[in-house]
Amino acid sequence: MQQYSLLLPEIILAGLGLLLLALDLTVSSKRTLAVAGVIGTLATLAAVVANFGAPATEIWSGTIRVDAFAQYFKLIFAVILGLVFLFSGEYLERREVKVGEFYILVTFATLGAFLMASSLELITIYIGLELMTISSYVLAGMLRNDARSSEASIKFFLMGALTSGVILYGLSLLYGLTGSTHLAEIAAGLAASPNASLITAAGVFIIAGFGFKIAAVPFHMWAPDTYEGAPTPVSAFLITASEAAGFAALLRILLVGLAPALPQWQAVLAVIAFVTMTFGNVTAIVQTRTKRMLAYSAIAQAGYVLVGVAVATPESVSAMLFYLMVYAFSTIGAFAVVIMLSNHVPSEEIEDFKGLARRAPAFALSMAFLLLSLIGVPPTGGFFGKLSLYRAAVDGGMVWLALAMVLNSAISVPYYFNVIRNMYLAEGPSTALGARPGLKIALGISVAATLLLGVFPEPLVGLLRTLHIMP
Amino acid sequence: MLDQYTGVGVFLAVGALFVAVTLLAGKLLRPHNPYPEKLATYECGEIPVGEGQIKFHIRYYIFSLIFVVFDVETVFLYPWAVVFEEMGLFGFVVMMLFIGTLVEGLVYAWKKGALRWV
Repeated sequence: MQQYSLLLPEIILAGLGLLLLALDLTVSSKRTLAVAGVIGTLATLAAVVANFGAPATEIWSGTIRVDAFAQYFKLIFAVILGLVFLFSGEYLERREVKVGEFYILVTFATLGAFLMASSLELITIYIGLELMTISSYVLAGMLRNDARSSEASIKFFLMGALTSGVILYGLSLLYGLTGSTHLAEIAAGLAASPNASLITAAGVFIIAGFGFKIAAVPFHMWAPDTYEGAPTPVSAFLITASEAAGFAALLRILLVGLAPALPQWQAVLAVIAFVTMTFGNVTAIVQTRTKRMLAYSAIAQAGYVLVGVAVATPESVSAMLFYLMVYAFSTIGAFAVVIMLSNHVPSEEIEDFKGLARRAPAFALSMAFLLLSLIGVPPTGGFFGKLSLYRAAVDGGMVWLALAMVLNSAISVPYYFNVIRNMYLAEGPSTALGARPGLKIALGISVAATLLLGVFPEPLVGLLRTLHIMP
Repeated sequence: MLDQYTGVGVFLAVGALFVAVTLLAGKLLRPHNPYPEKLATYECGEIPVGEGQIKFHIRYYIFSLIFVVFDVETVFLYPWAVVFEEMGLFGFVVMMLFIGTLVEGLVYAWKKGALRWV
């Protein structure tokens, strides 16, 4: 029965999804669903934390692997899910989204992300990926009367279906080369019989496919439209959880399965990282719509995280894991403010932030703090995350990439500060704005976590030092 | 590497030959007696209306989707039924959980009006 206790987080999360299905049919108050969701997520979190100390174990013929690496990603996903449950209610009701369906789908999408992180087996990773993305396609189109939401969903679906095919083709090449779908055996097989051209082909398909999923340039073209058109809580979920899940799978496949061929990919990944962060930052500067600006900002941030993959040392991996956690909190918090504002001003233009410092001082201050974290200014978590990525890149011999990161942080200052300037210096309407307690709690947690990770990063860094991605 | 595919090639050739030979043999042996009812499209006993190649309403998709779920379920039920005795109570509970999950989905779709033709 030990295998079931190892699977407890997934079991609780699946149970939560089924419970929400039943509640959506029987309970008329949608707030009950959100409360049930938060409680279920807390239970999942508790199960994840309880499994943290357990030694790395593979169960069910190696299809599920429970180790600290997986638990860490599950921690990120569960935190994001909980915050989404907290801050979405008012937005969904105002936009007449089917609240029950939203909560159910977001829960199952998170379950898919859980499966992606906790396996070294290609088929399980793929099924997790599909569970997450198919739920996300529907989520992106939930604003039924909004043409842009439908466009977001259709684009996401078409690109997603295409890239799933690309990924599958790459995975099938790996299986064809080694006769195994387990990444550790694939690595052994590749080392034993190197067939350079086919391994290169597999690498191209896998990196391109996951490049789409994490919205790395030049595979990003779907991302701004999808993130802008989707309902704002969905954008927040996609930019954080979905992207982190893509990184979890990419890390496992590249650093475990393709490990023998990794050196030939590091330069390519470094160039992708550089182009991604630069393109995202430069394009974000000229945006006038909030969500589109945050979408390009997300692309740029994916570029920073990719630095960790490209350098591919244990230090760079822990730096990027740290950054993913900070990034999740900072982005979700920023989106909480965007949601609060768009509950009152539906247009979602950056101009809407004008005068926010007087209309809702606490929200404006939180937003400024979270944006500083996204730039990477002390004492925020973003600063420490970028610093460790930078240090890992220098130690890993990619000094140019580290310099590119610093330059990019400077490029990103104008568009983040544009929001802060609008909030504090521009004249705007003076009516006070408010939000439901759930959203305030979510924002409070995000700000507190971003601050805590910046001031006391040591506990998390120490934890990350004990994580091992390799089997 | 390529000779490993010999078996596949032989299989393909035999498959194609099998279809050609059986169809040809049937044509040579069977009586030839067409009449309108026999040539009509088979619609499970209904009298066919119009041509078979028409645009289907998009709403069929939701029905076929729900149908496919239970179609696939039977695929899992058969091997389960074969080894049912060895699996004992555990196997029973697990399969009930599986079916229960699918039924809950069906009930949800039903209650939400997905099965209503409007």
